[in-house]
Amino acid sequence: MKSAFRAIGLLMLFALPACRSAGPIREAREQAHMGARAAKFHLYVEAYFRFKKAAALDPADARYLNNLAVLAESQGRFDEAKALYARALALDPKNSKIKSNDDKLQAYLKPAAPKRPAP
Amino acid sequence: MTSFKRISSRLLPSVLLLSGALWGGARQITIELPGKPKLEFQKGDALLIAPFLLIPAEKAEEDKTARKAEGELRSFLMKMLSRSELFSVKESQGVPLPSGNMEKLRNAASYWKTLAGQYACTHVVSGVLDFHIQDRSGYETEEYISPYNGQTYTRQVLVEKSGVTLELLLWVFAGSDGSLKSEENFKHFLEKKGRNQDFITAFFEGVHAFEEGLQRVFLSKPESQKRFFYAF
Repeated sequence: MKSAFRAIGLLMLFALPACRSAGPIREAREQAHMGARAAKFHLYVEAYFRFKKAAALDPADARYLNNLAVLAESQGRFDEAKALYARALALDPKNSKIKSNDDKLQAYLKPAAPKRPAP
Repeated sequence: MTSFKRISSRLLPSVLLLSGALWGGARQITIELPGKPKLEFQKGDALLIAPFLLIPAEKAEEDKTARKAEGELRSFLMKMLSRSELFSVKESQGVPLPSGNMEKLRNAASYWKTLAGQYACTHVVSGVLDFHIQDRSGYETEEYISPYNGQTYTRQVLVEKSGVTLELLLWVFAGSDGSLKSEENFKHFLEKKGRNQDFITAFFEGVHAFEEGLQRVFLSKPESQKRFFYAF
């Protein structure tokens, strides 16, 4: 009986943060879920809208900003994508995936070096 | 092991697994971005298709074909570059080249600058065209099965072939100072059966092989890039 109470206590310990953040964070997750589904079907405008909502609801999650940046890139809004990657990296500087995306965008935006003609 | 420890040891991996599934992982997706041409153009730029220097052929007949090919190359470039929404394309008419020497022509900055000024163009496209037809006919060894005794022999047969070599050195000069902005080399070899071929058709086959490379210099093409995207 005593151990059963302990188990319930343990479950509550896990559930507590979820309960505390149930409102906007759960809603952000739902929006992100719908955004990811929309992106899967190449509905990038819809996906962008969903991730924008998710990022507004949970501004501390770098992954929403990363996805938003990828979607901005796919729509040709490179300045916005650059700013979003910077914000995402400020939140999660060790995230190698966001860093990789940012590096690829920087490389893409870098003007091609002028080719030296053969002597 | 107490029941608490037993429950928690079973619960913890499940909770971790569940959170992993809820949080999702990143997967790589492919996005299409507008590709950048090797040369950057501004809206309103104008390109002038100038004559190309022809490498002289040994036979007069070949020379005639090569001259025709040069004209066809210029009209091909006109058609291809007219697709751009960034720049307009003009073709020079009856303008002689200042030199038949490749090096001198490449360094004739004042000539290219003047030519660009005459046609009010920001860039001049020119280069060197080497179009040669070679008779590659010769004897080849082939296997032959005798209908009399069924044995396999080798025999020499005359095979008539023509080879077409097409080499294009493409230059793009800046109209402002006549300096060389880009130099690209394209080479194609084509072998045709028979001696009397339609060499202009062979020339077009060669030019079409260059099309992608030529587009990369002037026009933007969509390029696929991979990005990490989180699934939720």
